[in-house]
Amino acid sequence: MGLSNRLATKVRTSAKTIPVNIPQPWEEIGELAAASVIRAAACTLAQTKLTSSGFRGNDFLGINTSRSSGNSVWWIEQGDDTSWTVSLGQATVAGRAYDWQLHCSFAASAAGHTLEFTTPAVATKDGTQLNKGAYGELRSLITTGLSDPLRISGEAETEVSQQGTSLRRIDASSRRAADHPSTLQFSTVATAAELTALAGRVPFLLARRDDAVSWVWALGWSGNLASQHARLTLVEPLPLSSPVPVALELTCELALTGHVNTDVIASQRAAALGDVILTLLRQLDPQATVTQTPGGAR
Amino acid sequence: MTTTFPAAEHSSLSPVLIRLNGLDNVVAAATTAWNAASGSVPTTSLQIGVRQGRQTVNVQHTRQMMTAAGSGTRELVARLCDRRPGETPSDGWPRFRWQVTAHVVPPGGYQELLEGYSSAVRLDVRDFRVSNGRVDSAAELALFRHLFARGLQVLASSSDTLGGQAGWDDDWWRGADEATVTA
Repeated sequence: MGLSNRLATKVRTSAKTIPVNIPQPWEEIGELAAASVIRAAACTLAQTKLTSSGFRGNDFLGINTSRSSGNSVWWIEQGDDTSWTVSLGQATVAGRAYDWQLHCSFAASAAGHTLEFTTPAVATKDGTQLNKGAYGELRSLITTGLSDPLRISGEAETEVSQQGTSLRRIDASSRRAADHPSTLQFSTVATAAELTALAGRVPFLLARRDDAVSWVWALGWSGNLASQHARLTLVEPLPLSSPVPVALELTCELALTGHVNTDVIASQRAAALGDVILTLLRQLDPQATVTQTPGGAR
Repeated sequence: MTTTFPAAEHSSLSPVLIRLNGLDNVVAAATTAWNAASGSVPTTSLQIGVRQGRQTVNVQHTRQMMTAAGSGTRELVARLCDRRPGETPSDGWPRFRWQVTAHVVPPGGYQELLEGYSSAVRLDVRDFRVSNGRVDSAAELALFRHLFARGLQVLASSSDTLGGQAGWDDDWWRGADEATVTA
C-alpha cells in the first residue's frame, strides 16, 4: 500500500515540461499573462477549505498531526521575471511546514515558450502526498489557463483580495501624531522659486495655493482623507532670488471621525506629508531641520 | 504590438500601469510617491508566536511598511514586514506578508498603450499569502497601491491608470472587528 502510494506521489509530482501559448513580448505582456493565470489558479483553490498540519515526523497515532492541524495557508511568490512558486501548508512558529510546493518556470525556445513544473517540496503520509487533490488541480488549472491566458477570469483573485480588505481594528496607540492640531516647523535655506518647485514635487493633492507663501494639500483623494487638509506656510519673509534662511510651518487640524481606523490613517497620512516635505527640503539643503510642537525635535 | 494589459480591474493583486505626462525625472517622482505612500500606511502591533527554546511564546510584533531600492529592472521594492522588538529593519525585512515592486517602463515599451503619454510606471504584486480565503493584510496593500498611484499622478501634468485596483473606499478599513492574528 505504502509502496504504491509512494509511486503514485512520485509520478504525480514528477517534473514536466509543456509548450505554452504565451503572448509576446514577454517583459510587457507575457510575464503578466503568466502571472494572472497562476494567480487565478491559486486564488480559485484558496477559496476552498483545506487543512494542513504543522507537525512533521513520526506520528504513529496521529495525535501531534491532529493537534497542529489548521486551515491551510497559500504562498504565491514570484522568484524572478520568469518563475513562480505556489506553496501550500501551515505557518508554524518554526517556519513554514509545506504540504507541497509547485515551481513554475517559463523559458523561451525556438518553437515558442515552455513551462516546466517541478516540485521542490512534498510531504507525505504513508507515501500519500498531503493535499494531493489541490496539487493536481493547481497543475491542471495552470495548464488549462495557459492555453488562452488573455481570457483568464480575474474573478477569483478579485474576490480573494477584496475579502482581505476588512482590516482588524488598529490600536489607537499606533497613531503617529497623537496631538491635534499638530504643527511641524522646518528651517532651511531656500529661494522662493525653489520652494515653489518643491511644493510641486509633493505627491499629495494640492487643494489650493492661497498666496505666494501658503500651500494647502488634501490628505487623500476620496472618503475621509479628501476632506482633511494640511497647510504649509512660510512664516518668515519670502526670500527673493538668493537663498536665505527661512522658516516654514506645516499645520494639520484633523477632524476626527470617531472611527479609529479612519482617524489613524488620517494622522499617519499627515505625518507622512511632514516626512515628504523634510526629505524634499534636505535634497535642497542637507542642513534643513524640523521641530515638532508639541513634542520634541525630530 | 501590445494592446492589452492583463489585469483584473478591481483586484489588488493585479498589476497597475500608471501612464504619465510632463515628468522630467520619472524615477525621482516615483521614489517620492513610493516613500510617501509607504509612510502613510498605518503601523500596527500584533502578537505572533515565536519559538524560544522548547517553548512557544507570544511576542509583540510591529507590522509596518518597509521600502528598499530594487535590483535589475525593479527599481522600487516595498514589503509589509513584521518586526520584533529590538530588531533592525534588515532583521525584519525577510519576515513579510506581501511584496510589491515598481519600475519605470523602458523607452519604447507598451508603445500602443502609451500613445499620448511620455512615460509610465508599472506596479506588480510579486508575493502574497492567502489564508481562510483572503489575502493577508490586503487592506494595507490596497491603501498602499492607491496612495502610490494617485501620488504619482498628481506630480504629472496629465495621467491615468490601467489595470488593477487603484481606488480607495473608507469602508475597507472602517468597522472591521478585532481579528486574531497568527504567524
